[in-house]
Amino acid sequence: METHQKQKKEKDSDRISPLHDSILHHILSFLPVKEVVQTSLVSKRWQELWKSLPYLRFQEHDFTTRQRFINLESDFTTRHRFTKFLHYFLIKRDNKSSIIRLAVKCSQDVSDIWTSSLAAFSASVEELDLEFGLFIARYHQLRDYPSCIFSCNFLVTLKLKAGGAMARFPDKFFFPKMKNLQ
Amino acid sequence: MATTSTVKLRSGDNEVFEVEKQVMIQSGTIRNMIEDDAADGEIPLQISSRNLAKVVEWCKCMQHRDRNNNNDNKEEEEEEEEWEKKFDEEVSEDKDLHFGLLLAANYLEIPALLHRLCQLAADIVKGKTPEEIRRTFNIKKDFTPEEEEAVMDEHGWAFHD
Repeated sequence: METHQKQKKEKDSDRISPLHDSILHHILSFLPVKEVVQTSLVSKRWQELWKSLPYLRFQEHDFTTRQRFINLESDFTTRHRFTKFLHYFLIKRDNKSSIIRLAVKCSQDVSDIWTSSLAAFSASVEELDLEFGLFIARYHQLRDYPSCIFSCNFLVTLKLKAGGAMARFPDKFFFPKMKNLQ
Repeated sequence: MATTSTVKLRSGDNEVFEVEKQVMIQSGTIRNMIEDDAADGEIPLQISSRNLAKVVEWCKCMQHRDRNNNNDNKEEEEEEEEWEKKFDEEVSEDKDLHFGLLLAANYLEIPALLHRLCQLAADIVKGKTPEEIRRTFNIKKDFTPEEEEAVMDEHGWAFHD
């Protein structure tokens, strides 16, 4: 009887919350960033967890609503929602926690927001995956990649994709640890 | 003295598993012990025999897959895929096994297994509201109504469109 009760208790117990932060962060890293922040409302254990997540993936696409699909909403509204989210995220995040992996997929014009913040994390980022939309291509002119990328001196992996545009690299940059460049 | 090609792992409930070293070097913890010549006797582990058996099975399957990566054996490939699919299902349906294996993979330092198990956990969390997450994992809601409101106030920007 006792063992039966013990077994039942174990079966009903919370197995996820006692996991170490690093494992919970690993789990959160697979979720869309909006859902990551929403886990703050699960319990006190989860409340602050998202603020120190070292793996971040922002996709403007995740901020598209159903209205957008039936064309009642402009690209501008999606972008506005995305930039607003990004703005709050970067303010509320624990900026003493380092970011190891950052992936951003957005149209060129929102990049200004995070590029200014990226400068603050640049010392720790090891993996950058940036994809910009077609906006720069539309102007048919040579643009520079945001200069802050080139101050991330500890980069091991860098993936850059700028939708068909001819973006320019600076004359000099220094990535002593780089292993993987696409 | 000839070194053996196997290691003996003793589970928390005293079951001994004898496994090829080639299989267990996927574990950073075991690999270090082998390299330091500290793996000759039995290695005691605080992992239940059920979970340890599963870890060993997973390591064998992965090693088998890596070894066969070069030859195109369609039949074996399908067999492995089938095994992985079954593994995913079994783990996702059994929280005891899932979180037991997570702790084991973390302790034994098997990055690929840890990654897979975290991904499976994320698949379960994905698309759920905080309330649904609590219910799924038996998490106790320890906020007072006032505290909950404060958290909601702080994070409202992530809940509205």
